[in-house]
Amino acid sequence: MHHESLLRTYTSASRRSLLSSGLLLAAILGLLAWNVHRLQHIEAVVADQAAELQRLKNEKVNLTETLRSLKDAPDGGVRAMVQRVPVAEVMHDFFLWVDVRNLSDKKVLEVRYDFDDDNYKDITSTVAATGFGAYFRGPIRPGEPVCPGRTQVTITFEDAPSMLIDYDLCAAVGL
Amino acid sequence: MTVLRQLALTSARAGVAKLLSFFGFALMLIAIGYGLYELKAVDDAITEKKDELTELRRQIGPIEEEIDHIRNGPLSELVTPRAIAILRPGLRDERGRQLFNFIVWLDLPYVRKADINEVEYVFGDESFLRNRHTSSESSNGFAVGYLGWGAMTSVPIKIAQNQGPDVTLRFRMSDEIEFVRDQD
Repeated sequence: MHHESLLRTYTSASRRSLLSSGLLLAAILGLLAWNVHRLQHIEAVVADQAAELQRLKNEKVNLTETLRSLKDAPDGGVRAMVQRVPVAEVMHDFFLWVDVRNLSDKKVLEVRYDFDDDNYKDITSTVAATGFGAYFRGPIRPGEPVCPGRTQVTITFEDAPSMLIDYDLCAAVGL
Repeated sequence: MTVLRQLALTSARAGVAKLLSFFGFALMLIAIGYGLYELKAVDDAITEKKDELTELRRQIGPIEEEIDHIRNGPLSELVTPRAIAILRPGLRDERGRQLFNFIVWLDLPYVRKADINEVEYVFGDESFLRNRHTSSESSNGFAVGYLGWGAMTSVPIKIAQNQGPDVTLRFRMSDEIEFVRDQD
């Protein structure tokens, strides 16, 4: 009789235990499902953020490029001017320099001007204070080739690869 | 006897169930701990991305403003006069002063050069035969120059726009010039 009573108690306790285990399992499964849902939501947020981040990075690159194209001429800051030499009708002074402030993020070491004409000697300038300016004198006669054609300007930087600019000196000085 | 066997069996099962529950509970704790650790990593990554997004938005704003300013801002705020002096070796005036070629030009955004028709610079020194120089050559920044021994303290610059009123500036040329007497 005592054993039977004990068995009933055990059986009853076992059922309660089964029920509570079932409830706990359901709760855990529910929690897991909720977590899966939350994780999917977080993944979607992360994906959205990554897409937005990429979009903004592209936008920044495009805007920076737009800004650069609005500010800087394709000539890389190379400037030229010609002046007639007083009393010498055909002789003109040519000046070439670089507006280095357009290249402010880099340190310029020297600028070399190579003329595509053997009559003109190539010039190298290392003087930043004069805008790496160069000067030469040459004749301008009506109907004749007037200036040293195309000029290759090489800007050498301390901390970046050299910049080569194919510069049309004649066009720049309005000839 | 049957009841006793059942009791023994139930007791043994309860022992196994207890052990399993203990391991299950331990596994759950480990899983929750790992989940929290992973969640924190994801949370940190999200915070980092949010910060990066905020920083990018902060950087983009001024670029857009600058673009708008370059496109539509008044020329007077966009133009910066520049000047250099190029040494002329061996050239001196009658008083023995070293001569330089002084060049003055305007630094302005490339896109706005087309807005300018002509620029007039006044080099107000009585020694000049011609003290008004004009340029309409946009490719060199409307540069003009003169041969002389010194720079002007103040150069009035008048910018004639294609559309809109003239813009007048005063350029402290001598502040801009750095004389180099040993040029290559």
